[in-house]
Amino acid sequence: MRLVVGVDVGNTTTEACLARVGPEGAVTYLGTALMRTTGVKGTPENADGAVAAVRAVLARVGPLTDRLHAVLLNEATPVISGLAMETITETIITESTMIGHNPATPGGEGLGVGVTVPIGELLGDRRGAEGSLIVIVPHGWDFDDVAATLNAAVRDGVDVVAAVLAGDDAVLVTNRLEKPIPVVDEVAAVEKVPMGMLAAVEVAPPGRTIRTLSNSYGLATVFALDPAQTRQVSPVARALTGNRSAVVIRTPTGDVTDRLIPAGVLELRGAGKTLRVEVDAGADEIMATLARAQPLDDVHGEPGTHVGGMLAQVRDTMTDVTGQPASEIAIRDVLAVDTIVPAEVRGGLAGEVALEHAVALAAMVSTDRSRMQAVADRVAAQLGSSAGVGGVEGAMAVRGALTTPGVDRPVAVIDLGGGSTDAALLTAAGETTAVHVAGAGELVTKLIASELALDDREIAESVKRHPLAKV
Amino acid sequence: MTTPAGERTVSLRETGPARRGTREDEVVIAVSPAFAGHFTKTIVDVPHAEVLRQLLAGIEEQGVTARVIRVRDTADLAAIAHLGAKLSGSGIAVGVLSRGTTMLHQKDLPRLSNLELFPQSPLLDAEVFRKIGSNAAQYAKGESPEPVPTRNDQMARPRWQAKAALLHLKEFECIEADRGPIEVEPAFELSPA
Repeated sequence: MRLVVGVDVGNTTTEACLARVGPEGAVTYLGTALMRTTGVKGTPENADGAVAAVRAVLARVGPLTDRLHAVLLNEATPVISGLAMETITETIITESTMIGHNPATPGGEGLGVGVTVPIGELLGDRRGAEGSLIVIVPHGWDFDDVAATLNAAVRDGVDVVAAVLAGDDAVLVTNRLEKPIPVVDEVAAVEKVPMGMLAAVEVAPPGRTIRTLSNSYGLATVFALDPAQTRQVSPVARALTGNRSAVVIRTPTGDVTDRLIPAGVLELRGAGKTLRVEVDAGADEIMATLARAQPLDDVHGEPGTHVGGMLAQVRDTMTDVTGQPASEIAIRDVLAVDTIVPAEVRGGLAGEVALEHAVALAAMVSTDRSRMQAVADRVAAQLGSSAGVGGVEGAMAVRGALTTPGVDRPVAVIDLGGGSTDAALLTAAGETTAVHVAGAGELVTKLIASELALDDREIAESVKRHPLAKV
Repeated sequence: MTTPAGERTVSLRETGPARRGTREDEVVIAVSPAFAGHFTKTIVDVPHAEVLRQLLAGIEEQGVTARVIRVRDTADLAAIAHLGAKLSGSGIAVGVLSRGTTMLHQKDLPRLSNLELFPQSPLLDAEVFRKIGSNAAQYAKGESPEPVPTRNDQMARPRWQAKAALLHLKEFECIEADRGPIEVEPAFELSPA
């Protein structure tokens, strides 16, 4: 009876599987253990993770009478994958057209339409403005004083319809008002709000979102716009959708626009041609261009851009690992995915955030040198058993699949890993072919982290592993 | 532009022995024996009226109610805050000493532990007290707010330690050893500038 451990070193995790092999070659499965891969896959640093995984599986299975006979490692294809994300759109607000942030606690509810006026002009004899007023309160005003000033003005017949505050005082002020009005607070750059302009303030009840200002025709009604102008304000309405409160100010040349940011050019070489594609064209365009350059020889990014920096970093990592010069390292596959990232709006008054389009790129490098024998030697030294490289991943996966009852040749295996996705095909004639493509679990984790604005990779990983809904 | 107002003052009217609250959406503010009584301002002259008003405002802005009690038999901040927490319907309390030192406490924590502690009284101003009130209310609602950023000044200790010690001695003299906590109602008054 011999104890054998098979070890699969992956980009993210290292798995060990313990089995007892009988005299006639009968295999009894005993258990598995999973550890985080140490170092870059296919490098001698993997030995620590492999040894830890072997010890873990031995500990889990419990006391064994037989000695560990052999450890067999996978012939890890040295695949290194890199990830980069590039935002390709931005939203710009000009001339303080709108305040669309979402303070946690706005005050009052409803819609108020009037002309903006600083609160100072409501004091005593400084009152000049007539008609409906939206009061703008700068920093340094106490909530009791704001409420007292507004109440006094309303009592004297001034038509105050809404207020915009710099501090976090909306609930405090509305609780003290005799006539309820909608109040939006926490507007950090309140001094940039233009005065004497027609504006609208809307606050929805708790748990609801605004209705009028997030609708182009609602805005058209409020500001009496003609059809051409209504078309112009549609980005404003779109940007405010989903908020509990909003302020829209009608300024002569104010606007909210979407703009494309140049993100660099990707140069794809393969099939005897060199194709160039702009990253800001989006993932579909990149993948379509990629399809025309198959089989791919190498990929370069425009120097000085994000995409150039990212591909250079992948090459640097590979140079460190293999000792090959950067010029000899070729990127053999890329995968581009469209995604959205929350980003701060330029020109916003209250740190508004808009969902911008972005492109995520995964790149994969293959080298001709595998250093798994070095890993095997280290594992053998640490465990005191024999250790060897058991076989090529693709071939091993296919043989593993064939142990499933009822499976026969031809068979294809797809391995969705952390850094790359591998596919192997065993034909009826017994020939095995395997391919590696870029983009796998790590890319999914990164997309989740950026779309949900999570800083913590572990949380994003948990979101990925425990989906709330499946399609 | 400044606030068109004068100084505010506060007086605490005693309304009876402090009882345990039944509302789950309340925060108790527990003040020390000499707060808004023998003393009227903190170590850096923030009026007690402002301390209390900002704490109450921070709580109100979050839509939570507040009750104020005075603890009379100790000047130990942990004891004051923990007693307040045990009397609070939500189990959350803000403890405040006359010199300004403040603590957020929760009834199920050990007495010498706390949710948030603001030990350097000379660095606490109206804005910080507002945030402390806001955080207390958010804990009461079962949320996990970002702790209020604590400032740090290594010169605070040498500069203020002597005054703090004197203020503490005075507070200590105001202790009424065998009297339990009492419910108080703050009445704010605005004196013209």
